[in-house]
Amino acid sequence: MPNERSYPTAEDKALVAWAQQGDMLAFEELVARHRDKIYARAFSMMRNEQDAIDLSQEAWVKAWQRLAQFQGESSFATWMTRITINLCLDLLRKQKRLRAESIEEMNEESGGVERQMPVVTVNPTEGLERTELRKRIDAAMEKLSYEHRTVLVLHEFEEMEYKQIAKVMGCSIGTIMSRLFYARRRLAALLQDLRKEDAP
Amino acid sequence: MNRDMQFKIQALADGELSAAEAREVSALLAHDPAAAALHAELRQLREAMIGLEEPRSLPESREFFWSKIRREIERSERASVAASAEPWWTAWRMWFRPAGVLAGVALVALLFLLPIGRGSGPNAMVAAFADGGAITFRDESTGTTFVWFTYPAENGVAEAAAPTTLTTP
Repeated sequence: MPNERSYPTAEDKALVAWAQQGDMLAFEELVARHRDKIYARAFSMMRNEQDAIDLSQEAWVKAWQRLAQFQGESSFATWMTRITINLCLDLLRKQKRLRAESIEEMNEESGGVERQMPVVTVNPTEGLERTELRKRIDAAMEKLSYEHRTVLVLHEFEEMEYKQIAKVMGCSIGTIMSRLFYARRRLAALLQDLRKEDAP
Repeated sequence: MNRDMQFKIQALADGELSAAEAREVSALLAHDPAAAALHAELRQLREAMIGLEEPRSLPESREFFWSKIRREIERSERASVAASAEPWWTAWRMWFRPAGVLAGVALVALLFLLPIGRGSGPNAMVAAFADGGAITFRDESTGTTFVWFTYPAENGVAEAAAPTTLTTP
């Protein structure tokens, strides 16, 4: 009986089962629980607050429509995150078609630049407090192109393997390796620059 | 160190190599300082990023955000119900309109091209004067000849580039 359900204390599994039966209150509770995480994932990829809000809203609507397809192979949060990532990638591809590609981006895609970048010999993250390091990584990622930021987000934060990333991004494993390599080297250089700015 | 080796060093740091490949690359690191430095850089960065994603909160209240989601869910469900209630043939409407336009154009083209109501034999002749500066069109059905001069007259005999109509009985 819906009146006896305690939504705030129920586990995700129970809420999903109720929502699959049409219980919108259960789905509302799922939204409340995971909305920040889904928004954060959308923001990390889009780097735009309004896009991230709109995409996370769209992801929740799609999740409701596809709820019957969720069989519990992964956690609900992971399933939701995948929906969000796919929506972000769709929008990024659309935006890329509308946007002229800069020479820098073309160089990044061809992968020629990273071979010339010197290795960062001093660990740019050493000695930093976690909070400060987190902010610096976030600031540095803001400066990457969307392809390189996306591959970093999917590999480092979503812990996806190369072949999984290749599948969702619709490109070869070789392209993913190249983008990840360049993204990391560029990130290291950016963190190094930030460290130098702080040096007395 | 070529590009392939750089990627293998990265794959080693990410645990994406097979056991045999991992041994091969590790052996290289032991003898190549540049390769070892690159591996260290990649590994340090990877370790630094573990669990360090900037947390963010949705900048809208729970109630407001949920109200938008609910509204969109209800709207899409109404649209879905309306679509399933339509007769089967309405799905074909998107093809009827352009097909109708094409049929109309084809009919008009046929009316102009077919010699309906005219006598047999050629009813129009197009000829060019020997000097190539004029074109004539003769419509036998009406006994009308059109002459089009393509250049202005030099001696004033014909007016500048304008069609002249000669009608013969």
